[in-house]
Amino acid sequence: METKLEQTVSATFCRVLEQLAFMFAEPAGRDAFASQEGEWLILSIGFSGPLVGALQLVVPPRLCIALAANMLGMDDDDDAAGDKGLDAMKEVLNVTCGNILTELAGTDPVFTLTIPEVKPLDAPGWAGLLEDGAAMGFLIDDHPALLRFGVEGSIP
Amino acid sequence: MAFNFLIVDDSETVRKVIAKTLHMAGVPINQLFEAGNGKEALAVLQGNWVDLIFTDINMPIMGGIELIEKLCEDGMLKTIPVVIVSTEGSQTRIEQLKAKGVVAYIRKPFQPELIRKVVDEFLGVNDGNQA
Repeated sequence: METKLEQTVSATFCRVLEQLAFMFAEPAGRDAFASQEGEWLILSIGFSGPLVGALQLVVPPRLCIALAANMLGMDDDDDAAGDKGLDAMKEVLNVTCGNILTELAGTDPVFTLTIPEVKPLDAPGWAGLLEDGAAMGFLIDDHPALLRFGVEGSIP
Repeated sequence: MAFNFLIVDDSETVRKVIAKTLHMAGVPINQLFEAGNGKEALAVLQGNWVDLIFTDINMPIMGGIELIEKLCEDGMLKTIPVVIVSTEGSQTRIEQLKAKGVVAYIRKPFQPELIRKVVDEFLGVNDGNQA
């Protein structure tokens, strides 16, 4: 059963994807990822203020391209969409993080967000995230993704 | 009458989405400038007149808040309407920015109609100024 925090994170991520990129995400259990192999990217953004922590998103590169294509109204095989895939996914992470923080802390506090970073995720890293109970699984237009909202201390 | 716009965001994708929104909304555009951060925006403004600036807040090198402060220091540039397009959700910070001359705030993810509404409101596109 999802906690209130997980519900907030999940609902915000799905809403941002839908409004920003007209893509639909649905929560997926770990079994949906059991056979997933190949290349993965991990994107991270940190935040500080009344809450301190980071939001991480793990996706396959092809999802980044599909995202950029949707945001820009292009075909997935358009070279321009390929070039902007990472940029588009960083933006989704940035917007999701900002919206989650407002959902959790309200509109009074001021948060500072870091610039999103991306790096390849190796197989052990992927396996570790699959075992991490705090990482939430999604299928985004049939592409798998993991989202992890980590916060220091407890949320008031 | 057509207008010059400056879109400041470190995401090229977002810049393209805002530009596309302006085109699709039928906003009369003369020139559309883009900048990836506040420093690049100031360089654009040194050689070009802009009627309205859309800017993000969280950007590398020079963010939106520093950009707005720089604009405030310049007698000419401080007259340009600035619209924040950001994931920022803090009313406290938004009020601080409005006190520095920001005319409107659009939160990401935004509905395209909001861009048109803001342009209408601050450039009077629907007041007989259309080309």
